[in-house]
Amino acid sequence: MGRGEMAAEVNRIDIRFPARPENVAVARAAVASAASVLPFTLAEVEELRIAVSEAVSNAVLHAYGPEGGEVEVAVEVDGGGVAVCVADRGRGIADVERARRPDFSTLEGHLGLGFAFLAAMTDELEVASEVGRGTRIRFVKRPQAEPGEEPSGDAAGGA
Amino acid sequence: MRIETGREGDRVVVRAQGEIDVRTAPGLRRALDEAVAAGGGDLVVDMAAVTFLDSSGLGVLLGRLRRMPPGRRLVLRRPRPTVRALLDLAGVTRLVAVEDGEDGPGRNGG
Repeated sequence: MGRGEMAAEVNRIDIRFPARPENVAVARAAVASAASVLPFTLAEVEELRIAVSEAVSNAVLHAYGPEGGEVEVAVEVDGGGVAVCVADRGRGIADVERARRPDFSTLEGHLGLGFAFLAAMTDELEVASEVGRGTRIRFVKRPQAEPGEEPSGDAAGGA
Repeated sequence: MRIETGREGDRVVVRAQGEIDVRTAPGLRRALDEAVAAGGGDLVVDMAAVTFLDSSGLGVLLGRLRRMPPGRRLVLRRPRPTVRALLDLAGVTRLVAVEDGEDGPGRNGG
């Protein structure tokens, strides 16, 4: 993408797979694995996995009809955090603002709850969607070193 | 994910093991619906071995909560801290009894 020397600083991994339920776990594992070089706490890693799960589940459940389609996940890891982009070429979301509304009372609908979790688990969240063209969900997660917490940036630590 | 259903007195205990997500949630839904249909007292979901939960699994738990017959409770047993955090975030722990004891009814917030 013409980033020149930035490419040396950013570890970018692209994966592409059919929009099938069994691939949600694959995406979770791939992103968590790529992000394991960062000093995330266990809780933050879990939040990252949940965010990936919600974004990919949205594509699996809502993007395509019975004919199916593909989901693309791009993971970019640099020193500051991990950025994840989940894209499909499906039917799109007519009212993104409504879908994103963090309304925990809409527990019937997976969509509302999923987006609410996505927002709660991430530091940045962008949702772009066009009806008939597809949806792109991009989020960023950064390690938060909390005061008083055990520093986990120890170079000797290799879990 | 693996699911086993057993009895403890009149309680029906469903033990789930592994990750509950969009792929495995339907299996959990079936197991819980069968457990409720089989009769008995409270429905206990033992979550000690559940290593992942997202909105798909949460939707199943909340759906069963709404459908519990009168006089029977849904109880979540021993969720791991990461799973518990999601239950707290979604407000589920205000709606459902959570047991932290090793076994038996133990304490729970009514």
